[in-house]
Amino acid sequence: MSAVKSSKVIDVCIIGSGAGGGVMAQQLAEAGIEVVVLERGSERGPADFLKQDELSNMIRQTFFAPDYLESRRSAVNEKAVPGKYSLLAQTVGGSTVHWGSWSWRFRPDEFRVLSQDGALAGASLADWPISYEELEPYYAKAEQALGISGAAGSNPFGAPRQSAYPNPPHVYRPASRLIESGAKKMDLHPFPIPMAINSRVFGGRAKCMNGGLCAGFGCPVHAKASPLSIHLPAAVATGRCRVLPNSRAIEITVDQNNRARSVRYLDAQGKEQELRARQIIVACSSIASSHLLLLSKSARYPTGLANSSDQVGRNLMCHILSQTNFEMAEPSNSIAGPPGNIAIDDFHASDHAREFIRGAVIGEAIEPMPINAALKVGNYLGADPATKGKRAWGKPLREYLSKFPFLGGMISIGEDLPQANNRIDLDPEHRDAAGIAVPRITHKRHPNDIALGRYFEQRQIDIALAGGAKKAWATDFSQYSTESGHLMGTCRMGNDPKTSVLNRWCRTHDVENLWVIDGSFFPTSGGYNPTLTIFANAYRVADYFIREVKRLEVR
Amino acid sequence: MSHIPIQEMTRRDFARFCGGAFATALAARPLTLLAAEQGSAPSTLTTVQWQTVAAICNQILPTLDGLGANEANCVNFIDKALAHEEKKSLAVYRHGLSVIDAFTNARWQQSFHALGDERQIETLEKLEDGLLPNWSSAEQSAWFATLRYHTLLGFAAAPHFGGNQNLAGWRAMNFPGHIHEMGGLSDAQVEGVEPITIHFPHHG
Repeated sequence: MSAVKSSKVIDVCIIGSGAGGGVMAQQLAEAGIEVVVLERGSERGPADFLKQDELSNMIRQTFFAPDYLESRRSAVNEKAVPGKYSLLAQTVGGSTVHWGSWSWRFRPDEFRVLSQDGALAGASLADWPISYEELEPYYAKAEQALGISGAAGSNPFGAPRQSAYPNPPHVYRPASRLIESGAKKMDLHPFPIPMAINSRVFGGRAKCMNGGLCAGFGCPVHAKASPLSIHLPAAVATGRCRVLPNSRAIEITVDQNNRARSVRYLDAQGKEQELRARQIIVACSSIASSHLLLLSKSARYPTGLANSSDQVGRNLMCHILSQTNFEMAEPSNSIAGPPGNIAIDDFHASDHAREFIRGAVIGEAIEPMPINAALKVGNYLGADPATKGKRAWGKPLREYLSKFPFLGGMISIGEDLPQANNRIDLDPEHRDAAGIAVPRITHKRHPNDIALGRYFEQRQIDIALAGGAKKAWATDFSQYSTESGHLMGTCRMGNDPKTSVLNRWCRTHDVENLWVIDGSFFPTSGGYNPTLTIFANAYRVADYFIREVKRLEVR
Repeated sequence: MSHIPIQEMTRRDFARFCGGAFATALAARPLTLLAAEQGSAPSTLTTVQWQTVAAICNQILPTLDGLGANEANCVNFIDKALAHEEKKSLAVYRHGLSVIDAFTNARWQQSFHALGDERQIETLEKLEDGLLPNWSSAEQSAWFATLRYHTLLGFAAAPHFGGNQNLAGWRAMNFPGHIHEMGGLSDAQVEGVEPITIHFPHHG
């Protein structure tokens, strides 16, 4: 698609086409608003997704993030090492194209963590300026749009809900049944994971083909819901939305009236273009959204756009993902189906008898990737006194690999705590191929995160062993942070402009026509995968945007 | 990222650097594919280096039930990756191989690849523990970890990258290959009510 003429002022420019940007594009275009979506990545679809493999998608990340560079360190006094750490998809449809699809509503208490648990040293806990009740209708709307499969009312510890899921749950594999049996023996309440993967033909999209390669991969039959398969085609069909792939925003400019004026971007040829818009929506995910604001320096905003609070880039969260594997006597069928089918939520609520606050959901994590399974040999050998301390190569390694069909797994989506120093800023040393300072991640775990992670690791092992697993063992979650792909925070939402970047409508406190609508707004991270909340919030903000359209001077 | 001196890095950083960040440093297109398609003759390693890497791979993943690193041709995966995605690791690779051979030549007057299993294993254990002479302990441990990592990639990655030859790696793990390329599975197969038949479509 050709570039937009620079003299023209369009209604709305959306930067990023993932869960936030995709919903906004569809909702605004359908409401009669003219939208241009700038997407840094290229356009890929089912034909391309047939050619994916674990090495390209997960290990080298050449498939979805071919030219991405960032740097990372764990403390402010360290030098950051450049690389590709975060699990991102730079593609039309954003990271939601390669998401795992687990789709939860946050519980009401997850909107008021500070009130619920009180302040904790080293953490910047906060209440959300919105409540579960306010978001509830939009969760329902998102679930319908995405065709979530699940069983309403099956989780006694989940958020209260009025509506059923549009599709029935997926079937259980042998590994799911082992977890179910173990959980029931422990008097827990297992239930099917709600997933944005079609369990039957729905919404003009295919039923799941049970291919196993879901998290980290694009779906070759669009059974997995994403803006690529749902929102962007609908937006474009209105005739009022254009999507420009391979278009990388590098600066948002402001005019003398303190309004965002234009987006400077590099087109597919690397040539600089400028797009003027009356309203500008940033929706690039936590790292890239804060990075873009920080790059947009001006006399008025010398430390980055909309950053008068010095909060842009801060409180980056990425969940604490404890993982375990177990070995079954029978084949687990963990290479097949959607990415895990059964969950346990009994341990979710904060419990002051535990040595940490907050909690997590435990879900079945399938084991469909041979490289990933092979790399965990050390954990396997360490779990058994007979092999503990053995070198993780030679015959023990080769014998372990033969057990691949018998492996099952679990994961906890643990709420990690926001910390002001866990942040994105501009790397003073390293630049990418376009000469732009790369986003520098500074990230260190709070002791609460580690305690929570260890606790949930043990609960998973208890469940697996109660279910009859031959053995169960943990993999070391503490080495991972942004690899989770669950990127949240960096432009926290709040009522006080001194301590937050966005107001309750995800509009920046500083600049009236500038919005950040993705996962950046999260004040805290919740103990569930974040994406359904990103979708639901985008629907909520879109409603407001459309209601306010006259006052916003969009047209 | 190429200019970070190794001595400034911790062991884990080094392993990640060689195994992870290096791997992603280059182009969008997996150039290894092109090299791998051009055959399995050495493209970066000398004959002796190839033999040494192959022997190390074989000790890391020995043959069991007719399937191991040799059958998967893991050394070919590594050789092709060193030409492209892992290009910046090549000098480190060469250095490590020379230290290993210097050690075995001094001790047993033989190159590593010519030694029997026992001596090869003894050498690799010293390497993993950082005990070979004339090389920093952290660097040799990291070097071994990297080679082990690359061996696993060569064994279990899709065969078009030059390893997993004749699907030896996937057969060893009883992994049927990419289900999405085979038309998917039924719900009854996921449930275990009907078997998942593994037919390895490309090879026998």
